[in-house]
Amino acid sequence: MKKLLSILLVVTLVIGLAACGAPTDNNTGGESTSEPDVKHILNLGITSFPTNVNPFSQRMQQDHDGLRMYETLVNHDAETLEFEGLLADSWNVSDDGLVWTLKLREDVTWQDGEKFDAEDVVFTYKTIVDSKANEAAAFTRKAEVKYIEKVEQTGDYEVKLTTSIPVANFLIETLGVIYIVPEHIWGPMETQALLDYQNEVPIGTSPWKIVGEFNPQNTELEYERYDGYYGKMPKVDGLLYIMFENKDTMFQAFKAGNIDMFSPSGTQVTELEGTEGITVVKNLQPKLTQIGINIWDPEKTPIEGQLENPGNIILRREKNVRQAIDFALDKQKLVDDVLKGAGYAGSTLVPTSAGKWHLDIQHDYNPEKAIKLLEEAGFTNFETVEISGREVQVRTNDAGEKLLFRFALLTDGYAWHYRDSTPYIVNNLEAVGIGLNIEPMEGSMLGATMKLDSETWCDYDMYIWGWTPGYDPNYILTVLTTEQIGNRQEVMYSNPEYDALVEKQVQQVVDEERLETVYAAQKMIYDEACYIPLYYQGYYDAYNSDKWEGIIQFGGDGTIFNSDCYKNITPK
Amino acid sequence: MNYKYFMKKVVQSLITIMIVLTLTFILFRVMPGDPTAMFVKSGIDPSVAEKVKEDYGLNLPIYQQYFVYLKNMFRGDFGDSFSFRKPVMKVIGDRLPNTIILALCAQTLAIGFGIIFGMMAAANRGKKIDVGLLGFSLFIYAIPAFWFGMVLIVIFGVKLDLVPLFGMMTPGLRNVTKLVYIKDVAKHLILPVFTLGLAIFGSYVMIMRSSLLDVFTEDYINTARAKGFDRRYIIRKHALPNAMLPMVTVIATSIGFIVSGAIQTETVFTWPGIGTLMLKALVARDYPLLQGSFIITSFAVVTANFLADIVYMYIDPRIKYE
Repeated sequence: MKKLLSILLVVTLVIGLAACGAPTDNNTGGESTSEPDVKHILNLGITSFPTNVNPFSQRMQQDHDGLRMYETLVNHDAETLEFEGLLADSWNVSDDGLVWTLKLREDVTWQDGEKFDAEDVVFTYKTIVDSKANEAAAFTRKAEVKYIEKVEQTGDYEVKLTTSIPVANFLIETLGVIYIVPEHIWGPMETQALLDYQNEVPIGTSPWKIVGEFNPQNTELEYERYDGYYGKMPKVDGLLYIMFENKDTMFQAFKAGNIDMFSPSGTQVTELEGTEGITVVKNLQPKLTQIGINIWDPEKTPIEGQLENPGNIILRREKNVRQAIDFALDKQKLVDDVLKGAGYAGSTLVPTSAGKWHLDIQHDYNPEKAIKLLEEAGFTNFETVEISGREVQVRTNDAGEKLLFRFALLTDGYAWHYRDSTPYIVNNLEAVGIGLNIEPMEGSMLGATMKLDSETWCDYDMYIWGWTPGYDPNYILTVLTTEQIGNRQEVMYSNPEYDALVEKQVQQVVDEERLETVYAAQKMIYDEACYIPLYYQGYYDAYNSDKWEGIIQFGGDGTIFNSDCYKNITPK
Repeated sequence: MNYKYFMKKVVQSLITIMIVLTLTFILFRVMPGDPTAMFVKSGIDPSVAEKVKEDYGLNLPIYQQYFVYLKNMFRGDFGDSFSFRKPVMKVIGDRLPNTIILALCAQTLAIGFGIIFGMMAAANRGKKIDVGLLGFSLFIYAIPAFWFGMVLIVIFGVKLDLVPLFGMMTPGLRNVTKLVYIKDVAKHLILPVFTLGLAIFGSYVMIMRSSLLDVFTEDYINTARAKGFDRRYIIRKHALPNAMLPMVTVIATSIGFIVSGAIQTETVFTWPGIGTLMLKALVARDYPLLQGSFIITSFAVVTANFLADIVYMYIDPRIKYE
């Protein structure tokens, strides 16, 4: 017994010893107690930690937090959304839209003291461009350079990129996303070594230099200000990303002052609102949530090995029914109740936050119009069916066809708002005589029904899913092109006119001309009603406004977790 | 040492491990979902996704995957983690000490206090102290760890600002002496250790109590009483050693599960252990890492049970292993 008590005493003492005395500062607000100078470190709460800081092979969204030391050639200005040069001082494109000449900055040094020049840019671009023919070389940014045919160094600080066709979104989709790496470090490596390189001490050109080594298993990632930076110097001494496995703990850490910025959930926002010294902002990024309807026509768009569409024939045949679904949905209520106001009701393919590229058609919640469309389509009779133990009246036509559809609902963690929206969708549609049988499934399972060689090919009627397409419209527009059937496309829409519009817009380097084409493509999908945007969802961000000022939201209504904000934020 | 018994237990353990290996393989293959789906959905070039599949052997027929898997397991090669791009053993090895520190501290406290409180309850059967301790233990046992952890965070971390509320050390703490480091980790251990310790403490109290009560009805206890021994002496010298037998089994099983960490506690406190690692692996469909974590956990449980069997052979002379 004495031994047992002794062991217990020791363990309790070891753990308890530290608790004695005054509580120490957990780097709250970044004030280090061990150094005489007060350092201002911005503590950022995150829930996903970067896994890979190799710009050639990184794949996950959260990896970008680990790539803060790198810069691209150009960048979106966070306030105006116009392009500004980063490593490129200026650029111009030839009249035929095929040759891009970039003049690089001459005052840039890598964080290890080496000079930056055109060799670094040529190396980075050539490495990816040269890998296009090599299927085994899994460079993440291959798709972004697919139109680049030639990369040339035309001076110590000048580079020429030649494309096979004019590329309208070359700035945002190519020059704005490829991080430039130092040739003096990466140059000697073979192709596979470049992809496998762990890059534990990444050297970049940005104002943020990694502290220590990168380890994907850590729970914090620290940057210090790089004082040799050529551009606007940040006012804070460093950034400290702190990873939380649990959002509620992150919320408590924010309340305790351990972190300065984080993205709260809707419920947490309610608790934070009105708290002195805390500012909550809506973060509306270009995100789209849509109801997709399987409209694959095996005769019009034949697919090898697949002869029949197990989806619902009515949805495929009757445009009126699809349009009626759109009119029957109270999308604003979804925004208010499910997203707690953080979003916009959806109407067209390109989200509102993409600015000018969004075709602004206001959603018309109009159940009467929906009923009229259904009746015009011949669905004038009613039949009682049982759905989840409830008796529901659904419309039928004279041929006895029922408006009763399967609705695939994702069970993945990120799909919380799909699940919360579904009861509203069910109610709205039942109100006009359309019944839904909910089929819960994982995203990967639904994804499998959209693969060409799948045994479950097209075995769904409708689904709710979403995209984060970015600020340029090209990505989301290409989703519905014929060539994306079996790849990104989910509804199997095929229309040569639409394909032509999408192909055209991506080659229109004059924005005004491109805008017209982008609008026409969006209008076409809107009329077809096979892809019904529900809402452009947003999130919330919160920061400690007692301690910090100079916050910049990306694009005016976007995230506060952006490079320009980190450069501008100032301790009070 | 009974070698026949020893060998029998070794063979049984090996068979268990083999079954675990096979079940683990099957389990991860029948789970819905394709580990490359996340790459494809995020707009990555499909050829890149194909290459990822090829690199990890996911394009091979299932039976070939199984043989490759078994061969690698016997060579101690669990493959590379998809998400960390490092050997699975290295990833697990980095996290294991953190889990062991947390779980051992929690177990030590839970076992120690569990035995003491269990003894107090049994020695005072039917009295207020027994009812109180039993009620408290049942209450603690029933509380979900994640909820209890959050309550501790709110009270001791946020309201009273006494202890750190997340992580294993203060963010940004660098270039400090070992003593400062140890002190900092110890501070961060307080809340998770209490959360995890209390979650298991209740069961130890109840097992110890009921085991002691059983022993109290034995003839040799009555004999000791008749001889006029002091009550505390009887508990310590006669009752406790015999009542410890069921505790050995429970402790051995718990120690085996230490390796699997405590997913809920580690998640609430962002403790970088095996529990959070398994959760990450599950979310990312990191098959090699999940398999590695499951197998390591199974090895630990099988080994702990094996050791418990051996220990039993020594501490309980009544048992004949033939």
